[in-house]
Amino acid sequence: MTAVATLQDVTMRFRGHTALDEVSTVLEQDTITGLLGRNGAGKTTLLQLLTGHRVPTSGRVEVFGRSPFEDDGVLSRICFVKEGQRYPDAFRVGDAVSAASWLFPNWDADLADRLLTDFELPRKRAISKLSRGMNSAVGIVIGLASRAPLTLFDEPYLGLDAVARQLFYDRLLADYAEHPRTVVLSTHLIEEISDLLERVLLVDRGRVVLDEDADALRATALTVAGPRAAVEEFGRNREVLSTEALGGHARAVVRVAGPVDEAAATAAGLSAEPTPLQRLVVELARATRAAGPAVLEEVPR
Amino acid sequence: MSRVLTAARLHLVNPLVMLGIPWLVAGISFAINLALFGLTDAGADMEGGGFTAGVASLYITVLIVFVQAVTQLLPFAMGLSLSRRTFYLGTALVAVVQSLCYGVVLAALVAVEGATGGWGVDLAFWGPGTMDVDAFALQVVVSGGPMLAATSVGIGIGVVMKRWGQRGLWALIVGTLVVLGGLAVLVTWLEAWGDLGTWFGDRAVATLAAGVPAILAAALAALSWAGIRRTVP
Repeated sequence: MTAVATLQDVTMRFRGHTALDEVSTVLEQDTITGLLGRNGAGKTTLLQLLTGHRVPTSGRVEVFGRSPFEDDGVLSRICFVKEGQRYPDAFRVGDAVSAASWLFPNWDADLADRLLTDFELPRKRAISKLSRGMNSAVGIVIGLASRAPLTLFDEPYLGLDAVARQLFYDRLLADYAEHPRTVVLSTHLIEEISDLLERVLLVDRGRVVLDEDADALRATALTVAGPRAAVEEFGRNREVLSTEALGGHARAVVRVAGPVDEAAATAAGLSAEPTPLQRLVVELARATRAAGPAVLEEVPR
Repeated sequence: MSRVLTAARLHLVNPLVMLGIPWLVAGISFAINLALFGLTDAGADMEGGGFTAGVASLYITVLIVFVQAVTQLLPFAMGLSLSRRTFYLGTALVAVVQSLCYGVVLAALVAVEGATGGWGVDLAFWGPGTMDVDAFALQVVVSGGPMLAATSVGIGIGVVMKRWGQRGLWALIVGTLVVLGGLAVLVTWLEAWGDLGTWFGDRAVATLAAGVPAILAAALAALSWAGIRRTVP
């Protein structure tokens, strides 16, 4: 695998506040990475560094082997679709799309046309007259049709309804299958995109909490449920991320090593199922913050 | 280079705004002046024909258009992965070419103005007073020079607004007031108004209308570049 982008010990400080703290990660070529984290975790700052919109306080950012800051050669291969992108007041949908077509070397005009139809965006409509969701759709059209080797979507779905979001995910996956490229999707809606993701990069308070292959990550945790004593027994020598107990019954998210553990859980009379990515990410973020082992606790219902 | 041209092209996506509005405003100003001069003999009453500062509306509108060219287009251009430098060069290219073209158009209008006896009503609108130099090539420079200054002031204000926001704009206004006011106090204190007037009177119109704006434009271009380098869209 070749690295498309590398961040090494990157720290970004604003006045009195550290947005990113010693972040190191690599974006591999032709992967879809989910950039996950809570509001203010540092997701947007990270993407701004990758596009040279910001310069890190310390550390090194490299995209296609060079610093992206003010380098048109690198920048022409990046498309950054950001939340709340501003368009000039007088621009119509068609103006924004044409402008994008002049600047991205791999631009696919047919795809852009199809996407405009799919998202029901009239070319002649002024962008300032569009609803929040349709405004987001303009960014999505540009992001997909750019076919940029590194495409970054920063919460591109704001205001989009569920149907349009699904359309975005479907089109992204379809086009990605035909034209593989490196995609980063920053989002809170983890469950919706969990099937798309090959990599997961979880940031919390400016630090990387998790940087893993999505399938491998899913295999690292089981949700076991059954008699409380059996659940406690199963969690004894394993890392328990969360537990809920109700009377004699308990449910726990437990980090496991592999299929052997699943067999052990079944043998102990517990039901074992894979943990949904969203749940796993939430528990991991919570566990990092608590910085201590989770204990069985009574959940009031 | 082609990306610089594309950056320049971005400015012309809506020519009705970029080019249309300044000429619309100047055109209306011209029409009003024409009507006033036609109705009141204002031109004949004044020695050497009447003049108005109405053409200033063109320069001021161009200035405002260039403020917006930065505040509105820079975030979009950077959203399409243009570097700040490329955007800046494209914008500067538009400013220079446009100033030159406007200089030619204004010179042509001044020529017509001269040939028609001030549009038949002794109105010196496009080349008021000493701005009328009676030579086409020189007129292009005299009319186009201040235009270049107007574009660079607009770009400079746009960069300040984009980089430092509302607070930066207020600081700019207050700062400019303090500097100009301070200079006025200084000149008064030195009792040098007379000398200053003589000095300006001794310069050729070309020096004042083209040289001074050129120096101003170059200085502002350098400052704008310094400001835009770390602007976050």
